[in-house]
Amino acid sequence: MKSRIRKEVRERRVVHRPYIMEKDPAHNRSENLKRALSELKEALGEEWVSDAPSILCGYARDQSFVPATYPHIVCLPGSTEDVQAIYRIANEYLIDVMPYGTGLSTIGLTIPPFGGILCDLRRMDRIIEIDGENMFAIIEPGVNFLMLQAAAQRVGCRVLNPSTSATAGVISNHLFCNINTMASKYGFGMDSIIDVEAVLPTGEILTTGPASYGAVKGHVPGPGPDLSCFFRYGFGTLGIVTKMTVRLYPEPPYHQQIFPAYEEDKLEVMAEALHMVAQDNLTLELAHLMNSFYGIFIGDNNKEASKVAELMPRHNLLTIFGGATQEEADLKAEITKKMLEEKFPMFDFLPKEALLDLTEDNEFVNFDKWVKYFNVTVRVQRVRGSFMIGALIDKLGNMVGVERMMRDACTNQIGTTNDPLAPDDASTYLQPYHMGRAAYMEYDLYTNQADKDDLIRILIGYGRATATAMSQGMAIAAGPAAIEKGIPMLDLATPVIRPNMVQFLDAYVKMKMILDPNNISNRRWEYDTGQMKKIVL
Amino acid sequence: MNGKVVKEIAKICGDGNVYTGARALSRYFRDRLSSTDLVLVMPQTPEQISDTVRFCYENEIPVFSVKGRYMEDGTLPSKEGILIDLRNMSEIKKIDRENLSAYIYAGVTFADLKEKLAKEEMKILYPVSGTTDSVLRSYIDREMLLGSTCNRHLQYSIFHAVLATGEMWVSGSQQITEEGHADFREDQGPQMSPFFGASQDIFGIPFYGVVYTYPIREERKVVAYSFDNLKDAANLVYKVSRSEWCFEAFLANDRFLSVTFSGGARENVAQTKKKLKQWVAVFSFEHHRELVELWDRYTKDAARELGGKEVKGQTLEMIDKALMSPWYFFDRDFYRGRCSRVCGFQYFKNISDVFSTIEEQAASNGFKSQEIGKIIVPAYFGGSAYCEADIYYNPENNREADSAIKTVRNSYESLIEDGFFVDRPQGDVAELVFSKTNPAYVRLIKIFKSIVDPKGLMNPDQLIKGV
Amino acid sequence: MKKKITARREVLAELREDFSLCGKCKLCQAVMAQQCEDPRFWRNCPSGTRFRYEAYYASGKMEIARCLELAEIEHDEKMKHVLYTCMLCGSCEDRCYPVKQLHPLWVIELLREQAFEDGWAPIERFSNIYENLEKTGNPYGVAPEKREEWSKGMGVKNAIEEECEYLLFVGDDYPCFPSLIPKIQSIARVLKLAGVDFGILGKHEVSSGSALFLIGDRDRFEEFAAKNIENIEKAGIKKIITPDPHSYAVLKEEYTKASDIEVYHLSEILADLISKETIKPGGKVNMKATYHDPCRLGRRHGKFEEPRIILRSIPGFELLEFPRSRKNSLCCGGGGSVFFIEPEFAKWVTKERIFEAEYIGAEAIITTCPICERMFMEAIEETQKNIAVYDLAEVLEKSLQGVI
Repeated sequence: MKSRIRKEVRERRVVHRPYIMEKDPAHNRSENLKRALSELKEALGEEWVSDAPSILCGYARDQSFVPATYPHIVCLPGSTEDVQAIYRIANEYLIDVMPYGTGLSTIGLTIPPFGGILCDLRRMDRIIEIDGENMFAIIEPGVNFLMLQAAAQRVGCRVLNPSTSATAGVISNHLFCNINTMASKYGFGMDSIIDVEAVLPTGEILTTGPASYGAVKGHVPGPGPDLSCFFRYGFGTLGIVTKMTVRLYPEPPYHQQIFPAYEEDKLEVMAEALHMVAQDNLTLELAHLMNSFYGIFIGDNNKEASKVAELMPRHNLLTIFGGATQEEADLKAEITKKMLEEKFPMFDFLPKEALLDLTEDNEFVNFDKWVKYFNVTVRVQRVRGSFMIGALIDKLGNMVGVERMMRDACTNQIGTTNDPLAPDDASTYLQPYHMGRAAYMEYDLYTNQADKDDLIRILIGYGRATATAMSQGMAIAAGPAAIEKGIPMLDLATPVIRPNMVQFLDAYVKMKMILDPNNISNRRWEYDTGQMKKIVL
Repeated sequence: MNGKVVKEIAKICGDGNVYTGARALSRYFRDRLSSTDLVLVMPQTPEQISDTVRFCYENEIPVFSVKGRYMEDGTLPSKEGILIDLRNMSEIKKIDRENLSAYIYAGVTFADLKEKLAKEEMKILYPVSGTTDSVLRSYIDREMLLGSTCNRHLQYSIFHAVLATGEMWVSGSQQITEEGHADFREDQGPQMSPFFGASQDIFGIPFYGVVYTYPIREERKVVAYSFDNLKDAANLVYKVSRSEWCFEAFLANDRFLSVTFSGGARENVAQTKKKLKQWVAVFSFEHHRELVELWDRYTKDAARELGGKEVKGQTLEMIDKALMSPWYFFDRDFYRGRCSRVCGFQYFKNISDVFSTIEEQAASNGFKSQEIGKIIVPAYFGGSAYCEADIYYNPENNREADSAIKTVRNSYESLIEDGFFVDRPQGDVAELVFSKTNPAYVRLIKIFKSIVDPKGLMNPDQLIKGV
Repeated sequence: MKKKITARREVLAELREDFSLCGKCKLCQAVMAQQCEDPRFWRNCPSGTRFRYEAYYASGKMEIARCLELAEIEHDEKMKHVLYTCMLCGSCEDRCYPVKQLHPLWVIELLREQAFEDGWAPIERFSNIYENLEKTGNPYGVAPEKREEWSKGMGVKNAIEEECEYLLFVGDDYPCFPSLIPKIQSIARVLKLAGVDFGILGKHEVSSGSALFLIGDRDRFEEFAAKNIENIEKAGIKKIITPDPHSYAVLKEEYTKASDIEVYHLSEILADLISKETIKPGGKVNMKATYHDPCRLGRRHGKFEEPRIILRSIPGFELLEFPRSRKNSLCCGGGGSVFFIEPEFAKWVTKERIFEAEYIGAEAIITTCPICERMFMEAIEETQKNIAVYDLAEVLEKSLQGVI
């Protein structure tokens, strides 16, 4: 029996492969693609280069709503030299190059806008060196948190915990995300990059930091100007990072936890508590989780998640303390508990046993391990299949009011009431950075990509929430300037609405045009009389 | 420089803020100044800096900025250009107790800020070997801090800098939000603002920023343990740092401490040194009382195991007091007239090798090893160690001065070969380091420089010759 | 059209929700995050690990299904390779289902079925199997009479001619390879020692159809299944024991839809007898060995504990666990009928598993699947490794001899 749906289409064999086609393109010309393909095969080996549609289709979409676009060629470089060869050939034939770390982008970052060569870096997956005593690991782009965390634990360290999938790439997260580490005491994102090795679009190798002259990992930036974070939020427009030294942080041998919880839906109270604990700086990991997030993170499946969410109080603090002895970990927990009890007498403190009970029968999530390996899965997206992340930064004090407005803006839109966000629709969590000087807020809206109505409803809700946040002055966590540049209206508006950004954007444009003279690395613009303009189709 | 230019600049900044002549400029140079073509400008507002720099850009006049108590580039006085000193921009714009930060201009000194913060029950981290009393300058230049052990290294979030064209560079989240919202260090795109750190201002002059402050905790205790050997002392410092028990930690030899604690009086040095053992490991514990007691106990046990002897009495008081203020490198000149140093980072396990290399070089140039001041400060929970060796010498004695310079240069050469990480190289050391770095590193610096300063007028030759 | 013996199965398009909702979280590439203690052993998708393109992972095959359905792509040579290098070990499904309730394995199985239905399955690569099945009723081309030779002189009942409680369904592999003959003989002896009343179909047992089922040829599978069901019914037996997890999977999942039979894996029966103390392994077996979970028995049917109950009951036996064990078990390389068309790749996977055994210091690998055993033995012979391979029954037999 043949598939009933689209049977007629299959029978007619009308194949429509979505490429975003440019008029009279200078790049990605078919005759050049052919030549590039054969040269790439020669350089990388036949096995690691393909233009088969069945291979290409795996890179045309991600979990975002960015329209599908197929690359023309997919390459799997195995070394820095291979990446250099890809750039060399791409420059010669004017083919676009799009880097692809481990492919967990939630916002379409690795979908090549106009096709070209997609450079899947997962073959480069070595932990080149891991040093527990001096707390660093030198890794390649294919290394994910799962393997690095396991490796780090073996040498008495941790890698910072993003609440992403364990299979997410460490380098790509350090370059594009990783702002939501729970252990902000140790720094976040860029603080954890010690040095990088990158291939610039011209094929030249750049090494930064200690790697620039083979020095020891000093845990401080330099020498001189700090170039190590240059590729962060470059989105592959400035080259491909092929190695990175990431900082590890010490894993104490003993742990303790307390579970402060607050039933009332008053985020401001919880934010204050969060702020206080953050400033006290005793926690190893610290975040605020709404009951819905708790459910999603520790529930074994959707049903379990709902059950956990129902059982948990509305607001919860995730606090993990470490110590050289159990006595030390216990004391830190006790002090924090006492402090919270004094200031927030209305808080409950859940017994650990109750939480252990919640996951006792779980096959996949063990609570005790969960606190050690927070980064277990992309669990947030599972509720309905896909999700949209809003990642914002502000001071904790400002955040509460804005969150309320955002919630109003999106809950009205997405059809829930103003009551606590239904776990089926959205979740929010707050997390302080560096002793609470700033804080990160994530709001996730869940949707089903396959259900258009749901998608539109959530998209509008997301748009309204984000617009509200931006209008209130919150900063977007993952600096998008590198890919936003060149949008005509935005370019016109920037000097007026973001005057502080003019110099920065100007420098970025010039930097890009010098470093990538043929405009091949994650091409999104036309170079036009010293400016970069978004390609309009 | 011609008088017309001086007049024009005076128009921008006001007559009282522009100075010419050797007398006005001699304070910035260690060596005696007989004449100079530099014009000293001391703007008071961001507009004044911006307008001054723009004027210079239009007229192709090189702009130099004051980066420390003394200018490192000895050839500067003979150059034509203006020298900008931001000491008059000394406003503390805001102290934000809630978010542990201070909004300050570049002229704000450690002393000023310390006083203001104390009223709010806060404090800041102090440099180990500061070259400037400007807090912002010290932090953006990434000077090693006494509290770097258990606190993230960088101590600022946002800064504003004036570019060669007079335009403003704003870093981090203030690129898109107004002040008052998140003070978050990250740029809204590729991270180019970190280029400004330890760059000798070749890209622009930072004049305003948000620096981190710390709450004064319920309890603070300083302890010290003396050791006869470096290895055991270093092991203790590593253990305490790695366990995150201390707020500040360092390990120094008797020579370093005696110079640092003698209050600038040469006659006290020998006496102070007598009271000290060869190595002293110092820790401060700060927090709730019970925790401080616990950490103190743990440290004591660890020290005992390693053969450390507790330092008490006057010496401890002296150490405790010293930790309440910044330590300036130039304050060590008093001892022999001048102090030169070799500093950078190495792993804890290799500290002895670093000092052996320096001692070897020193010995071959006639310096006794016990005369070298040595300090080690753990960075990032003991992930690496900042190692500094101070060579004290008499600058009037040409032979000794040459020997000191040779010792420093040879030590760097030899250490860099062995992987010593020099994070903020300057002068000859910068030449040496950048000759070793991958060529693209310097190329990227040059590209960024050509973008923000197409005419090459901002602090030319200050980081790398020709840039 | 041959008689359909099983219930209607879903077609690919009915799993559209699954392949459209894949979030590309890539958990399907790995072992369970919380259970990964050694970075050397985090991967668990054999084809993805070897060929690396997204398409070779489950998430990529979900995307192929989606793009085929959207008519964005047509089948091509690479697609055949992608589809037929998947070992159908089900590790992806075990990672994905708890988190997202998707069924990647099911999608891959149905993709293979669709390949057959649409006529683009690489049938030419399986021509040997088809020829053999046609001629001998067995994918390895061993004649029916030869297939029952192993039982000669063992006093094993002929289930069609004699009455017995259980049918021992031998499966495709055990009787066809000389290296496996001692193992099936040991299985029979253990069952006898345990007092189980059993018989075999002998030359009347044809292929379970598992190989055909795995490659997606449902129609031919059903022909063989129908033949076996006919003989089982002829023998009048309701309870079946099989030592072959591949047979076990099709018997239990498909045959039972058409016939009123109870299906047990050998390990279930033996573990039960040990738990009830009907048999007591008493002889010391001094061995430090690891147990390899066959995918079809472990992950597919959750039989993780039974083999371990047996091994733990043996005095002197030290059971080591692979870093990837139970649900995280790595395929032996023999899954998905891949070895028929990509033997080198299959062996590559086997070698990785052997490396894992050596890594933990095991002297031997114990398993209870003829394909796993054969893969291990062949790879060990090739690489001259000093590691033994035993069937679960062989180890038990050592302990049981003389003690019951």
